Order: sequence, then C-alpha cells, then structure tokens
Amino acid sequence: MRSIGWRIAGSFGVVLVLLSSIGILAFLSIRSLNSDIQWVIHTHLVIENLDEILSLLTDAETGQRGFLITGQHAYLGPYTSAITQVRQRLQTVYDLTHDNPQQQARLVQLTALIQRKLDELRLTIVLRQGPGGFQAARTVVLTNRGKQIMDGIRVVVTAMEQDEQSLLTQRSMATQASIHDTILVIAVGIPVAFLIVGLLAFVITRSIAVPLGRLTATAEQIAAGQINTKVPEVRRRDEIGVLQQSFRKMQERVTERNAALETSNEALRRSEEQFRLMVESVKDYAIILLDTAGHIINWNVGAERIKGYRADEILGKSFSIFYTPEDIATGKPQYELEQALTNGRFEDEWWRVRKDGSRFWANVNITPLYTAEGTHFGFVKVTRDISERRRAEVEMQALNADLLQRTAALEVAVKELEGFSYSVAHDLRSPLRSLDGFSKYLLEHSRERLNAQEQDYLYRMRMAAQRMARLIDDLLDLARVGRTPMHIETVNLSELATDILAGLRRRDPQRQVITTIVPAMLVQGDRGLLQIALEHLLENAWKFTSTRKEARITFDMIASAGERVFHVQDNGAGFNMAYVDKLFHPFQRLHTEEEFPGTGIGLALIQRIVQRHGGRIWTEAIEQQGATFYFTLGEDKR
Amino acid sequence: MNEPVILLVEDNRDDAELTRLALSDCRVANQMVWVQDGQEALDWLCCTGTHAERDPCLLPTVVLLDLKLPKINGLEVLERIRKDPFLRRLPVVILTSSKEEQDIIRGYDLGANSYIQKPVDFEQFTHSIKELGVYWMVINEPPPSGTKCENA
Repeated sequence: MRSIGWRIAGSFGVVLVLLSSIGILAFLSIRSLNSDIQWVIHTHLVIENLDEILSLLTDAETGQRGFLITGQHAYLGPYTSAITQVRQRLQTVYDLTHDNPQQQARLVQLTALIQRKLDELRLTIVLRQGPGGFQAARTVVLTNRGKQIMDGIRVVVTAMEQDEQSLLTQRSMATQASIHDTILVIAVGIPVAFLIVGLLAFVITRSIAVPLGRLTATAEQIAAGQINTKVPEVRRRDEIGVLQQSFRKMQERVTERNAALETSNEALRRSEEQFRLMVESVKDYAIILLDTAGHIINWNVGAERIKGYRADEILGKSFSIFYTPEDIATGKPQYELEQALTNGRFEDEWWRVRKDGSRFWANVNITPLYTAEGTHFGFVKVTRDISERRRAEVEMQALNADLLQRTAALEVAVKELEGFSYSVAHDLRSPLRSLDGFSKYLLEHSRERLNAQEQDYLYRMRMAAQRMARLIDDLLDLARVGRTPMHIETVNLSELATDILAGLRRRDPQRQVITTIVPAMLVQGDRGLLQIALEHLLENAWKFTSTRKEARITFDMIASAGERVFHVQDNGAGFNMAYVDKLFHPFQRLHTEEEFPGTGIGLALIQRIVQRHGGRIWTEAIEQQGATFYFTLGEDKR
Repeated sequence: MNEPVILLVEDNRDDAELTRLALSDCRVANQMVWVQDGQEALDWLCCTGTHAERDPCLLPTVVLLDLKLPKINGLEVLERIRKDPFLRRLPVVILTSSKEEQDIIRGYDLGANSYIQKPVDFEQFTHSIKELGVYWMVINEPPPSGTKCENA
C-alpha cells in the first residue's frame, strides 16, 4: 500500500538529499578556494622573505662600510643583527619551498653565495681592526669580489622570485575558478531546491489536503445535522481511502442507529402516551405525584373529579390541602409521608376534604418513589372515594344488627319448634296406640259379636292409626335431619347399602331382588344422616319394584367433572317425568297408598340430607320401567 | 317371699291398660304395679307418702319408666333411683313414645338398663312387652335384694 506517511517521508528525504548535496558542493568549493588562497599567501611570503634577505644583506654591507671608513664599532650593530636575521629568513624560505625541488636547488646555491658574501664582509672587518687597518681592508674591498658575490646573489633571488611569481599567477587563476564554481553551486542549487520543494508541496497538498478538506467539509455538514450528506467517493487504498471508507461505514451505522433510535423513541413516546392516557383516564382513583416535600407535581382526571380542584389550581401546592384542619393540626400529612418512607408504603382510611370543603371518606395509599440509583424523589398517592362503601358498610352493620335480632328470634322459634316436636313425639303417638291397641283387642276378643263390616271398620281404624304414626315418625325425622349438627367422618356407602338391603331381605324374605352394589364407595359425611338417606332411597327402590318378578336394584357411582355422582337405579314402577318437580316436596306422592304405601316424606328427607352435605339430587324415570336417583355430596366444594 | 313385681310408671291410662293387656298374655299381668307419676313412683319405691304403709322389703324386678310424666319426669326419677344407695342397682327400662336422640342419650347417661320406644302397632307393642317381661322376669338375674329390708 502506498501510504501517505511513506509519501511524506519520501518527499522530505528528497529535500534532505537535495539540500545536503548543495551544502556539500558549497563546502567543497569553499575548501578548494581556501586552499588556493593559502597558496597565494604562501607565494607572497616566499617573495617577501627573499626581498628581506636582499635588504638585510645590503644593511650588513652598509654597516661594514661605515665601520671600515670610520672604525667606529657603532656601525657594526646593523651588520650583526642583519647576519642573524638573514640566517632565520633563509631557514623560513627553506621551509616554505620544501615541496619545490627547483627552488630548493636554487636555495642551496643562494645559501652558498650568502655565506661567501658574509665571509668577505667579516674578513674586511677583521682586517680593519688588525694592524693593516683601513688600508688592508681597502685592498680587499677594491678587489671587487664583494660586489660580484652580491650580484650573483641578486641573480639567484631574481630567478627564485620569478618562479614564485609564475606560481602566483597560476594559483590566482585557480582561486578565480574556485570562486566561480562556488557561486555557481549556490546560485543554481538553491533555486532548484526551491523548485523541487514547491513541487513536492504541491503534490502532497493535492493528494492529501484536498480530499481531507472535502472530507472535513462533509464531516462538518454531518456534524451540523445533515446526516445524509453524501460522503465523496474516492477510490484510494491509502489512509484517506481507509478514512473515507470508515467514515462511510460510520455514517451508515449512525443512520442505522438513528433509525433504531427513532423507532424506539417512537415506541417510547407511544407507550408514554398510552401510560399517560391510562393514568389520566382513571376516573375513580385520584393518582397524585408528590415531590419529597409533599408538593403536588402531577395528577390525573380522577384526582380532579374526586378533589374538585383543576390541575392549574393545585400544582405546586402542598398535599396537606386535602386534609381536615384537625389532621393538619396534629401533623398527620407529614406523619403519613414519614410512615411511607419508613415502611415502604402507607395506607389509611379516613376523612379527606374536597375543594368545596365537603368531606369524604377516603382510602389513601402513599408509596415513596426512588430512581434506579435509589435516590428518593417523591411519592405517588392514590386516593379513592369510598364514601359509598362506607355508607354501605354502615348500612350493612345496621342490617347485621337486624339480622342478629332476627336470628335471635329465629333461635327462639327453633327452640319452640324443638319443644313442639318433642311434644309431638311423646303425645301424638299415644292416642294412636290406644286406637290401634283397643281396636285390635276388640277384633281379637269380640270377633263373634261383630259383623264383617264392623270388623272392617275396626281394621281401618287400626290402619289409619298406624299410618298416622308413620307420618309422625317421618315428620320428626325431617325436622331432626334439618337441625342436628353434622359430624363429618369417612363413611363407606357400599357397606351401609349392603346392610340396609340385607335388612329389607329379612323383612320380605319371599321377594326375589337382584342387587348390585359397587364396593368401597368411601365418602366424607355424617354417618347417621347418610344412613337415613340410603335407607329411604333403597326402601323406595325395594318398594317400587315389589310388582316385578325380576326386580333389580343397582347402587353405583360415576365420576364426572371432578365430582362423583352416586346413583340408585331400579326397574320398578318409575313415574311420569312431568311430575318430577313435585317429587321432592314433603307429603307429595305420585302413587296411591293402595298401590305403594308411603308418607311422601322420604324424598324430601333425602334431599334435605344431600343438601346439608352441599350436594344435589335429581332423578330420571320412565313410567313402568324404573327410576334412577342421582346424588352428589358436594365433594368439589369441600 | 313375695311374688316378683313389675313397676309401671305411666301417666296414660290407655297405655297402662294396653301394657296390662300385653302382660296378661304372658301371665305376669297381676304382678304389675302401676303408678301414675314420678312422685308416686318414688313414694312407692321409698315407701313414703301414700305408700308409706307398703312392705318396704318388696322391690320390683324391673321398673318400666315413661319419660313424660306429671310432677317429676321420668329422667329425674331415674336420676334419684341411681343416687339412692338402696335403689341404685334396680333395673330400669325406659318405655316411652319418643325416640328423640336427646332422651336416649340422657337416659343411658343416667344409667337406664334399656330404652324401648312404644310401637303404635298393638301387635308390635304386645310383642315388645312380652319379650320385655320374659327377659326381665325370667332370663335376667336380678341384683341381690338390698340391705334396707334387714335393717328396717
């Protein structure tokens, strides 16, 4: 991947190389120039030293001549110092020209000449100081050897200086060339460098800044809210391309998230609206939002309806406005908030006040509200006007009192009835016994004195008495069944039925009855009452099958819809279903006494017993084909 | 040694007569002593009041006791008999029209030896009385005679 980083690094590299090259070139030029200048200086030094040597020699000669003429030692000063300095200069020139063999050769020649000159000068001085004096010295000078040596020295020096001059010319030209080169390097290199840097800047700007700028503009637009601004398409694979791609993805994600947020916002708004409508539409409950100090922040239509204030009248007021002055005096409103905070809830039924000052009996619930972080921020107070209920309760209490009174009266009546049935049991039977007993006695002991009709009447009297006795017994049973307390225990109906049928067989041994009893029908009930009920049911079946040759009695059970239905079925006389409604009424009979004897109490008694157990009894019959009595014992209710 | 007697406590003349008729069938009728209320029954048993002249050594073999009686009712008579050290072992059979549960329970609680409801049907009535007579007069071994006689 050609990354922007590499490109920028490359550009800087080029610039660096360029500037380095220019610098190196300039450095080299200047060093070369410096070298050339050194050489020029060097040449000048050689020439200067050679000139000085000539000058010193002249000084020495001058001093010699002055001494020679005057004989005064004062003229020997310049001579002495000149000799010393000449030797130093010679050494200097020797050092400076050691790289030039030609000059060195000449220098050797020069040194020899100078030595000869100096020897000639010292000879004359010595001679002037000796016995020959001035004349001896003058002879030597007049030989002109000194002058010849001096000329020879000048020739050599001139030759050396000419050499140096020609070297100087050469070196000056080289210096000129170096200066030219340096200027050229600087004058050309820097503009070229500028050009290249400018070019690179242009290229980089074009390839980075421009697309980046475009992207920035887009980002600014998006940031300003124009979320759908199109991100410019650039098919690049560098950072810009990646940035662009990421930016596009980000835009897509933001758009998606926005859409999702929009959807959930909409859902939230709708749910909030629904909740608001729901709370507002509650008309029977005042729902009031309080802040922590008990000021009303919000409330619903129900509150308006119950309290009588409009929302704008009440918002911001303390909720104690709903309390009676007595309650406010005792600090009840604040107490209730404290209780709600302590116990998480407060409930009360007490008087509250409407806007018009009227009072109503209210049920009040106060619950503290907490944020998700657990900060308490207020209370919700739900108030219900239960004046009606209270009125109903008061009425109910009155009714209850009335009921208690009536119950007491009823208890008295029941007591009386008990006394009544006790008397009936004792007193009503005695006369019947007399009737029956004495009729019987007459029938037995005076038969020969009575005719057939008289005997028949006595017989009828006996029958009537006995029937009356049965009626009394059944009536007493009916009364007893209704009032004796029940003792619930497990009772095996199958065993009871078996015993009862065995008793009936003993009573009517001549009858042939096929009995079927499903074993182990266990129920919870009052043994005594169930015994009476089964006795009557089975006796009925026994009685109404008396005309059948093949009598059948079945006692069975079916379970249906969670309760057991017991049934006693016979194939006896049955009855017409048109009269089924009358069947369970006391003293109601569907057959004559001659057909089937009976008091008409039995079924009423059975129904009474079944009902006391919480059960139901019903029957199905077909005339002359048989009847089925069904009963339940309210097992599903217990 | 006197003949054994049955003491019948019965306020109803007819019932008394019917009882007598029934007993006559098993030849114990003349051994029946009939008193008409609770007070008289106690007088007879304790030889007090109108029966003060009676031979105190004579105790009935069995007492047939109606419950609904004038003056002192049958259950109270029974209670007094059971509290009397001389009479307390006396066999007492309640013979009454009612078979009210409360009467039966109270009767046995007070120590009745038997409880019989008088049937209306005279045949059944006769049958019951006969059985009763035979049982108490013949089959049942009575308690030994009390000590009161010897001491008196």
